[in-house]
Amino acid sequence: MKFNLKIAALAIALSGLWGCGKDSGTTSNPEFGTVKVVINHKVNNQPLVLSTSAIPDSLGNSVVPNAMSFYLSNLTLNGTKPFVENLSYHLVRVSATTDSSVFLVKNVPTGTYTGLDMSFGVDSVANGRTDFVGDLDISNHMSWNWDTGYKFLLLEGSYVAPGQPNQGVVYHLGRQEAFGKINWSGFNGAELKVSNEKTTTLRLIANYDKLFEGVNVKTNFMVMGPGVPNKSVAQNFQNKVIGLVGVGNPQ
Amino acid sequence: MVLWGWVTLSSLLFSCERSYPLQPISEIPDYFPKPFPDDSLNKSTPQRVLLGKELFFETQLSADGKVSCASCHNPKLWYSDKVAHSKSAFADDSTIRNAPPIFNLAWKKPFFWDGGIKNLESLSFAPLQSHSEMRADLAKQIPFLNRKVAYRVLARQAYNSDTINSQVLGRALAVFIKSITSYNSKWDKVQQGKSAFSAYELQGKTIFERKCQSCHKPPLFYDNKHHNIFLDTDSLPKDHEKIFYGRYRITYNAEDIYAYSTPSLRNLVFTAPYMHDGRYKTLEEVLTFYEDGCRPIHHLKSNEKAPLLAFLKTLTDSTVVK
Repeated sequence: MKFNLKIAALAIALSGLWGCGKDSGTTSNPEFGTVKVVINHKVNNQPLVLSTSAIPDSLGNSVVPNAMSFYLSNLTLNGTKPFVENLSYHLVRVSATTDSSVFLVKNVPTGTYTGLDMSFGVDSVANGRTDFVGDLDISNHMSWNWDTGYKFLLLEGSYVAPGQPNQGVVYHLGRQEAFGKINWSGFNGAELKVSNEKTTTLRLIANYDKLFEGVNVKTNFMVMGPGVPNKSVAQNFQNKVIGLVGVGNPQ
Repeated sequence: MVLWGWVTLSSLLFSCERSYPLQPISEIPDYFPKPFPDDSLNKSTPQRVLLGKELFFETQLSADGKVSCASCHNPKLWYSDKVAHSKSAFADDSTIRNAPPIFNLAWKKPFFWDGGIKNLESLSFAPLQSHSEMRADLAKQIPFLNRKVAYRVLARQAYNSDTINSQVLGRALAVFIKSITSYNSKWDKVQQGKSAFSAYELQGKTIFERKCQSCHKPPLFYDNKHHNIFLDTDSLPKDHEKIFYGRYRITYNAEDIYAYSTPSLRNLVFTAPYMHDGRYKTLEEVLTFYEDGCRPIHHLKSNEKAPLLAFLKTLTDSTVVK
């Protein structure tokens, strides 16, 4: 059997199919709406500014991040009829120009929701391969190409301690020991309402004050594999960093 | 528009003259085990093999436009490159480990010397992106591919995708790599009753069965496991993400320190240099290593080396060379 690019391409060209990508138009469906998730990044009650803000560690010294990204995934809105987002993987990047990150959850059935489940990191199914597009695309530099899997959180920066030269810091959290569920049984007393006419806003906060709680960054300045720092920082993120602010329902 | 399409298509077609006789995996001998099933998201089809083949030889996937997968896995060199450490794009860096020949990977899992790659679909991204290999920035390289009409045509045919993207890239390369097989050696002919070993080869076969095949299991001559054969016994640097620690850097299991994947012995004579770091230039050096009685592995006697080598030569499959 012999395949030949020339023959294959020529055949298709003759049939007039080259480069004829069609835009699949979308139509507004009255039964579905969109939720805009806004995450504000803060430290010491101030907006997190890359290359400037200092995140404290357990010794009272600090980490100044130059780059920071993480995955939130498997989003479920709970209610009488729960909504489970399909292919729910959201790469959240801390921006150099703004203190908030945004992603959209589309095709949410209109109605009222009473709680939210999601995960920190990438579930074991998706974490077992890296041939994805979208937020899991390997060109996002959020995966290990030599040890198949995703970096659930990437933080790169400097460790700053008085009287000492700055030390480079690399935290690439991952593997299933770092994966964790995040759950809010309510929206701070409110309900989340999804309409097909206006976008609903869900406001989250990432307060990094306790990201390194219990972690000695001075001795663990490069974390790229399994172990206590990997698990501890991941658990801190799930339990003490990410939080719910509230909802902005359509008026 | 039509004229542009024809001009572009023609220029591309004239530059793509490559003959490659693919061996359908359905023709594998009956004494082979069944290969791992196709990935459920990436079934093998002729169109996917064709696209993967073109990408395998595509130098524009490297940062300097000069290195392709075939540079280090050269079909003319039994899908290896005859050097211990392959040169990177821009030739200013080189690999730490040896580029292994890549045939019969349809039966292999996991991949790489340390088993860090879980599936073929994820495999190619490492050499593509590594600084010491092709150094591709996929966000730049992939749009370049999509300027070629033929790639867009093949992407449509193979994956019903209007363009090449990283998913199409990884999956097409996986299907092509999976199609590279080797089962036409003298050893195979003997299994099929079409040839016979010489007395000297039979002597080597007996030695092989006693001292080698517990790890190098026929008919593939590997075992999909990782072993520490005590090549590395000193404390090695932990840089390069613990690359010198073998499978340990993947599992963090102390038993995996210095353990590496068992390579296939098929076509061994033509795939020098040897070991995970290419430290041995000749098979004689390899067999001398196994002769050393200081290590807790199967030891060869001096008079066993020559007949064993004669047997190993029967694993050569010249049809692999393209």
